[in-house]
Amino acid sequence: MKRWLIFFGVMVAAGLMIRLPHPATDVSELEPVEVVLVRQTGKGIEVETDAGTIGRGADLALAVDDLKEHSMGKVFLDTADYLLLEEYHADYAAFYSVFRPGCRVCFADGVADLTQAGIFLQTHKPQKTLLQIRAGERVIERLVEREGELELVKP
Amino acid sequence: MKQQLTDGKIRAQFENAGDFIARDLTCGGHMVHAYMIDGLVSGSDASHYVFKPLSAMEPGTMEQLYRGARYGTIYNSVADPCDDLQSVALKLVNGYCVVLFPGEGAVAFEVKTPEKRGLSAPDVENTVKGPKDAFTETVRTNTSILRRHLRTPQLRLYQTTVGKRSLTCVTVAWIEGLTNPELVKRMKQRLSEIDVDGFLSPAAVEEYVSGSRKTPFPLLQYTQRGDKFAQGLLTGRVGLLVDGLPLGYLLPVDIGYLMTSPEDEGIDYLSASFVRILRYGALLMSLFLPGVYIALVSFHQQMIPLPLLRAMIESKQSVPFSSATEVLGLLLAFELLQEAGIHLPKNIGQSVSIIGGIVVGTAAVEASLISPAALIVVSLAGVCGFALPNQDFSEAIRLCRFGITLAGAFAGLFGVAVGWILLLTHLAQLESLGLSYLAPFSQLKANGILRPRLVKNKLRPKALKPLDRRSQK
Repeated sequence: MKRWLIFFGVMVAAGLMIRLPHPATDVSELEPVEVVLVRQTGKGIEVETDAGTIGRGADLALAVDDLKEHSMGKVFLDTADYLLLEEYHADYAAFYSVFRPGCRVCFADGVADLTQAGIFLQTHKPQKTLLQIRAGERVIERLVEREGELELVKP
Repeated sequence: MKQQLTDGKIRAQFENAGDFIARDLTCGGHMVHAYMIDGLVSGSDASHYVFKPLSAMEPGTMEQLYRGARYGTIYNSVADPCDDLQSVALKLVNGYCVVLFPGEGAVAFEVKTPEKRGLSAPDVENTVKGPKDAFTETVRTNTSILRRHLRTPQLRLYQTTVGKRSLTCVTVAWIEGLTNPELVKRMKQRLSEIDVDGFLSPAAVEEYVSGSRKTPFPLLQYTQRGDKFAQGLLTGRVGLLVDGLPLGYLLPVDIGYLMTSPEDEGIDYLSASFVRILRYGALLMSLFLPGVYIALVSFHQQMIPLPLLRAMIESKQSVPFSSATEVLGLLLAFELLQEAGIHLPKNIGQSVSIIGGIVVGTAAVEASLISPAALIVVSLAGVCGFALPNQDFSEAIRLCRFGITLAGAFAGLFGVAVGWILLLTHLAQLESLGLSYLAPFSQLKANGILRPRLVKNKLRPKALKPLDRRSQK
């Protein structure tokens, strides 16, 4: 009886271990992202990462799917620290299921190089996080590029 | 019984034994027979302290000669009568010279050879300030070391033989009036129940004494140090010394005992407590680091800080293997290196470790066969394993590390958690002579981990149920 219980317990544990978690993705397959620019265009939403990958779609979910499809590795948005919004007027709710709540958010004007923007934002962190925006905060800083220089402008 | 002992029977018992010596002597006008095993007996001592007094005995009856030999005519420190063939054989294989007085009986005189390994410093339990006298292969030497550390007349040494053919001399040690008699009784009972041909190897001792263990974790603690053994007896534990093994065993045991080192008693309590905390940290690192690493890099990459993740991804780009394969392969290589190091002579073993660990490791990283992060993780886990004071416990942890690493590779942190729960469940059901293996942590007190101040440590461990709990006023 005891042996059967142990056997049963081991089988349940093994079954849970195989079924419950997400499938493994080796770290070497990942394409980590630090800065994501979300741009609203006439055709829909365009998502660009500091790794240089661009995805387009009618809404954010489709754009992200397109981004993942076109990237060399597996785009890893969980590491995104900064979310830049350009000409974005849609609902923010779409971001909550894609990015971490601790991801910092700011508007962007004419930012050409996202890698440079990432380096700048590491030292000049935007104040607002996605969590605060979800709580109703709407006063968001703006990252502007003037004559090649980046500046974080308070509203 | 006396009539059964004859010269022919004794000779037949050791027939064709090349080292068996039988000698006929004239003693007081009668023929007596002397027997001994060459190599176990000092020939010079036998001549001086047995044969010479025998030949000088006054003439008389055989009974007078026998009584004279037993009660002082032969000046020897030990003169034990032997009534049957078995006791004669036992004395002979233990380095005695047996003299048969036909029709009366036999007397065994102790003339053991002094050839034995001298005292030396322990190999594995080295301390800077502690004593350097380690146990040897001779049980009597070991009991003398113990007596020197523990001069109380209450020290009891119960001697018995285990092993039908090896006839291994085993000594149970305890302190009368202090040690729980139930522990002593159970230990004696276990020894009496052992029915085995040979009781020679440490594994035989550990497996038979602790019961057929279905666990890699040690259920008795071994030590090479007399002072540690004596300290164990003073806390109310039972000791076991086995002839032929340069070790002493202490029972019962729990994780707390396995995580203490003799060095803890050689330094102040603050430093010792700090080192003990470090040791527990090393235990957790050794057990979980590879599993958690695989879980993080395969399932929970979002938990890795971005700069570190970027560095890891960069270093992994040209590595052809998955992280799980890398770590498991490195763990296996680590085990093989250790195994090679053990089987080779000491100097060559060190070279193999250096070549294997540094040269091959560095070359493998440069050749992009493994990533630096995986190498660091496995090396760290290995080094942490070496920080554990008990070798048996360390080996058990190494085995469990494989299981937890595999669980982490299959199911991430969930798998690591399942592995941890299974391990805890296993440890919680282990007992050593009735003492729970996790006893130090059962009351959520720091005493199990930290080294208490000796002046404040007035009571012996309650879990051992000592007859005298107070160790000082």
